[in-house]
Amino acid sequence: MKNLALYLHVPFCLRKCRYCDFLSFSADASIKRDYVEALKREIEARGRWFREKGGYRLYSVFIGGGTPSILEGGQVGELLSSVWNAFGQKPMTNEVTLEANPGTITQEKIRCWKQAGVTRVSVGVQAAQNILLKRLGRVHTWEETLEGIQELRCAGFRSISADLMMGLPGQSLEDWTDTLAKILAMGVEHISCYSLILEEGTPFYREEAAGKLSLPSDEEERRMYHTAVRQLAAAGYRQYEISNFAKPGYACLHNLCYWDLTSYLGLGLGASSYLEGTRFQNTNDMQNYLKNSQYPRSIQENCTVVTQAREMEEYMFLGLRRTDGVEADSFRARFGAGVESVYGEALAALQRKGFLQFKEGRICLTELGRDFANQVFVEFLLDPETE
Amino acid sequence: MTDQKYIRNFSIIAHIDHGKSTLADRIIQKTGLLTEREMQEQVLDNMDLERERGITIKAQAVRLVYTAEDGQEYIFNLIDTPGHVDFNYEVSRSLAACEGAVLVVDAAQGIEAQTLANVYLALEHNLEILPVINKIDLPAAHPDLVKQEIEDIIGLDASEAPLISAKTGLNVEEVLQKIVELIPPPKGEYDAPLQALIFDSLYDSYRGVIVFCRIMRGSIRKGTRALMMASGQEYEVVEVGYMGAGNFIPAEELSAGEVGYFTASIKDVSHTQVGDTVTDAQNPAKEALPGYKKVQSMVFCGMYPADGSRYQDLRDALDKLKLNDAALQFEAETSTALGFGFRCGFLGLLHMEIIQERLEREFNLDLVTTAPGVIYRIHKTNGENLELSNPADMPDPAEIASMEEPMVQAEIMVPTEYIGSIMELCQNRRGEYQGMEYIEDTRAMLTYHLPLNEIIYDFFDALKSRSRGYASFDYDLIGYQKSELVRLDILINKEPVDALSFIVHESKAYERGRKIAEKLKDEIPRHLFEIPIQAAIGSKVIARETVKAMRKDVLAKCYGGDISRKRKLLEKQKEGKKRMRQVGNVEVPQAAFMSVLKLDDE
Repeated sequence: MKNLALYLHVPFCLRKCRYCDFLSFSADASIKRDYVEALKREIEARGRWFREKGGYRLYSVFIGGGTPSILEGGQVGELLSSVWNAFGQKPMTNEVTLEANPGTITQEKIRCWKQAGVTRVSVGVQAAQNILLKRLGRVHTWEETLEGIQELRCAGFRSISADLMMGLPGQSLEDWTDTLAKILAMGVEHISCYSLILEEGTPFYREEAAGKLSLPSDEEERRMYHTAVRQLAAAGYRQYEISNFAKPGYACLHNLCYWDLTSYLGLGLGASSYLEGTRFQNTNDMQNYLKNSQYPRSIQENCTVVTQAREMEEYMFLGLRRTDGVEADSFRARFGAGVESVYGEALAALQRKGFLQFKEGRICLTELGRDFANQVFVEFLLDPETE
Repeated sequence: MTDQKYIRNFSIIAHIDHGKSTLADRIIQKTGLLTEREMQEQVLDNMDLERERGITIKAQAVRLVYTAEDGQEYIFNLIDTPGHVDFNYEVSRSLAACEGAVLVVDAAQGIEAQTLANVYLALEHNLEILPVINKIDLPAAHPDLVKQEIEDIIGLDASEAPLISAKTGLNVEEVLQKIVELIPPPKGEYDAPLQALIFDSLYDSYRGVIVFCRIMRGSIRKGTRALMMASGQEYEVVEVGYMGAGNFIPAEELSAGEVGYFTASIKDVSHTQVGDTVTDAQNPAKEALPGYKKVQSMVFCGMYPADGSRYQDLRDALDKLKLNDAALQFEAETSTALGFGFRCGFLGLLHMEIIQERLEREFNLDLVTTAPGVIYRIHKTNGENLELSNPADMPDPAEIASMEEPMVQAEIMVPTEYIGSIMELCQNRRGEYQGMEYIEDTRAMLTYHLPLNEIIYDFFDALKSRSRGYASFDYDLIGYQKSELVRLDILINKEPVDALSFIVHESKAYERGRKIAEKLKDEIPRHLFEIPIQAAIGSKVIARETVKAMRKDVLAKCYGGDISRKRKLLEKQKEGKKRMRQVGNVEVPQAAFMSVLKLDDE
């Protein structure tokens, strides 16, 4: 039996944050209703395929966005019920994550989530300073975050994650350590530290181009990151990926699937899948999706067959994101060739530069390598001739 | 053999865009040798590039039959001339093949710098000039003012000048009739030894070089032992004939006064240079026709394939262009920064740009070029003299007694409101003011002596931007002048980059060095270490910038399952890396080499 991770996309937000380029938008209640219905139709159709095909077992479920917590509590319940019905099982890892924005959390919703089988809530905290939150275009305050996390705790959620952002306009190192300290005080099980990345087409991108965004320098941003790595380790969190830290036993199993090339199925508008050696995405067009979601094949786009060469590349540049890195034996078992024979030159050069280290049969990024991960990853792209 | 009485050999001369090619088309159409269907738009300009730029690069000729008002048939040989100063010599040879010239002046713009330059050339060759005022259909047309200008500035009687619109065909008939009446028929004895003037040639892969010539004396036919008097090459003529519009019409012979072509299985255009005299080896003329000059490159630059593995392709492409362009020179050179490439010589900046564009467009080559330079003369302390076209070959300054640089006389036609700004520009470019003449109340002609190396960069662009496009400009080489020149080297991370070295006047070195260092600082991506960028004269650093060390290059962001997006980012990064050139341990993007070619003037 092979594992299959399941992702459900909820492309709605109260309003778009100024740095965000993910597929999301604000919408009225009736569109949300229509969307939930359409998503349920896709779940049913995919579930049929899952049962008929056989050979897979459901590993984890992740409801992401957008802002999944924008849905009515009952709607989340409906979605998960139709997953259990359609796929005929609950996830073997018992990890069912829901992303939540503190501005949309209510006690009523929390109760519904719990009832529906959500086991893990990932809260978009970003920062503990209201002025920074406002600048980002977030719809919530730090006080609401605090309250939301407390309510989740009271409702019995044992696995709570906080997303934090560094390198924000006007953010100082003090702001950042303050945010870290406050989040640590809440005792969440999992923390993600993401860097602000200016994406084309976002308001932040345009403001930066116009010279109106006062971003911390790369040096300051790295100082924030290195501080986080140090302080979180001291507080008992293990860094298991470039941006992810967890108390023992609380790493996000769903996200790990992306990095170790486990199959995953993305349902909903624009969701990405990796299934049967092929990567594809659902349509981005809402009308098309609402009309045709019960025929999942008709809304699939950008199908790419992952050749052996591509798979090797991805195995390396995704696997190396993890602190555990890539195991040489696993590489050989998967591809029938030694990692040294495929990437000998790149490995040696990157080791010389101090970006990679080899320990106990594993290849991992060094601390320096984490700061320059792209420079490492790019070396694992093979030339087209060898494909 | 056509009676010389009924032959008219003429060119059309004009400033760029005043309608020379359109008029030529119209004449070809009116003479009725072409049907409407055959009529390509602008028959004479047969290269796309020229058409886009509105200029004609290769001179060509066409033979037309015109039935005049008296019912008599006349042979018109219309010889087209390139319209740019880079090709001045070719223009002069084309004019030497004619008895007259049709001068086209735009009714809205009046006389421009190039109009004058071409008129002077035509007058030097004693041509009868027929002024024609074109574009009278434009709302801004002032034909009377323009007539007055022609009379005042050139001293030609313009009272009878046809007022035409080449575009609509209005009054073009009148031009044809005037050509018959005004332009004298050719002279030249049929029985004398052959003297034919080569004014152009074309390489054809089946027939070899097709030589375009004007027979001045004697005749040429199949079997004639053609001797090129300057190059000394001798070939047996295979075919002679006339140029139709877009086709060749073989004939028995070409005789004195006629214009036509011959082929002789010639494999190399350099054997049939423009301006050379063809004679009959078995009955040679005593002397060659006057005016032959060997074409000389004035502007040089290095050209390198962006993708080093395409070096051979670049060589093949240059070889192919050279087949048709005796003025293009190139020789292999190696740069430590750019690898294998060629040092190329051109007639001028336009010629250089045209070759570059043709290499990129017709041969699909991506090029990296180095800063254009000119030929400097160096007098060494040991008494040796040398000519320098590649900055890399400059001797140690201690061995140099003095240097000279080529100078031009520039004539700039400019609306009076921009005079101040243009004078400032010339001053900035080390120009020496020679004089100013008012053409009319609102326009003046400025004369300056300028170093050639100051105008080969972006002088033309600067001129246009400072005059909102109204200034026009023409120049002539006037010789060499002593000058304080230095070689400016650029060092990236302490390593000199040969491809970025250039020769510059001492007074400009600091400013140029500073600008280049600033530009490179923006173009060179951050590395893991700090990179100093220095501009230096010898061992003296005159400007310095620093590319700060990179602190991070990581996507610490959650893209969830969208792996394709991550992959694309990495692929883009890898693609970017491929386009880098290695200078020591610094990766320099190709664009950096090109960025220093355009330094803002202001």
